[in-house]
Amino acid sequence: MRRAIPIAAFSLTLFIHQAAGQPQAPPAPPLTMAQVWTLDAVYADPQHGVTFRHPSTWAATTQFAYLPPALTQSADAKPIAGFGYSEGGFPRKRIVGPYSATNLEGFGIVYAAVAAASTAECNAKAASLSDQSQNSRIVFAGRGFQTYATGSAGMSQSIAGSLYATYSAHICYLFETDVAVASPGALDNIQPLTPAQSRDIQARLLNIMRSVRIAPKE
Amino acid sequence: MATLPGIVQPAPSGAYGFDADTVISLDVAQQFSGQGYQFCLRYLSLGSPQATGDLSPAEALDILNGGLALMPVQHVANQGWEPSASLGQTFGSDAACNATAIGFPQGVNVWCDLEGVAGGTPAQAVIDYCNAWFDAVANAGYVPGLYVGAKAILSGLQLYNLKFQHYWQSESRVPALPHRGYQMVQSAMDGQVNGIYIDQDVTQTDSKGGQAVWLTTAAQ
Repeated sequence: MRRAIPIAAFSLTLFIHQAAGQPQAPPAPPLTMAQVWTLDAVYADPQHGVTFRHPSTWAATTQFAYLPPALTQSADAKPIAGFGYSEGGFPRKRIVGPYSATNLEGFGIVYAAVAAASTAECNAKAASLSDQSQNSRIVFAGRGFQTYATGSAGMSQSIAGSLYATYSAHICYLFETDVAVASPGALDNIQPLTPAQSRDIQARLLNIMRSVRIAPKE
Repeated sequence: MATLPGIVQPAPSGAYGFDADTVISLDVAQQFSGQGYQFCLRYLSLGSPQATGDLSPAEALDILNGGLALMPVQHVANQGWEPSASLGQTFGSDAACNATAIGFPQGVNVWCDLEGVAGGTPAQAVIDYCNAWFDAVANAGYVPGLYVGAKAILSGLQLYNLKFQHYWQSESRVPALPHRGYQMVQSAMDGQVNGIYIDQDVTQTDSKGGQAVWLTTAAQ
């Protein structure tokens, strides 16, 4: 069972979260599944000719839980942009959305574009961020991507993702989608995401990848 | 490689700190220090050398200069991993090499994260892993500590009978540790503090008078 923070312990936490004397706004109503997943916003990177769709309810961030995506940790492929949904940590202070009763911490997408001399160099960059040697190929909107698994774990939490790499006009385009959770078994009264929920999240993240368009400047 | 500045000392009971998997800048360290946090735990990689994003010498200096004491903890393999003596020796050696490369002086606690072990793993395999990890880190002059998370397989007594003398209680439900108890206790956080995701930790003196051992430049 995850423990509540001892009250005496963190007057300083209260200090941090309660800006001097300001009344607290009432909590926002929980987001619906449709609000969390409707791809009603478009990100555009004119410099590299990239666009993709994402839910407008997601925050512009390259980290959406305790453990960051592999791209966010990267030194030479820092994300240009990222969008994520955070269900929050534990114990839940409030119900954010439809996954509050599960061990989900958050999910999202991060994107990077870095110079590369070849497809091989691009794939090598992606492979260096993966903890597995296997990779596969997938096609989105007529463009082929190599796909690599990413992930890390620590402190009763884990993050797992898919890193998609494609090369065009001396640019290596990298997109990573991730799901972060509290470790199954770490929580009392909180159920792990069911296999059906996990599959659904992965399918919806894949929909974001299907919206990726790349029109590099030649 | 340069040794980090500061002194190695036992952590006083009741000190508040945090662990994070985000690079801590000098500014962020100073913010935490100004709010009463006294220490920080940052990550060592499972491989060697350190991976980008895990603790670097420059970041360690920023944390120390920001007024926080520092201890390293190693990442754990993904859920469902299978421990063995060989793996413990490998990961422990990596932890020791990385701690040395960062500049940690000998005598500091270096923490092993034990959690998420594959179901059905024999307790002896976990014991072999832990003790091999302990030996590799202790042989480098560091003081091994054990973070006990969910699915660690071992009972409280089995944990106590390991070579470790420093234990860190995770935010998960874990066995009580007979005869000794824990020297650090972790609490989860909902949301970010100073712009980063953290877990909070508090130190305590265990039943045998043992305390976590950190590196600090500040008078505690």
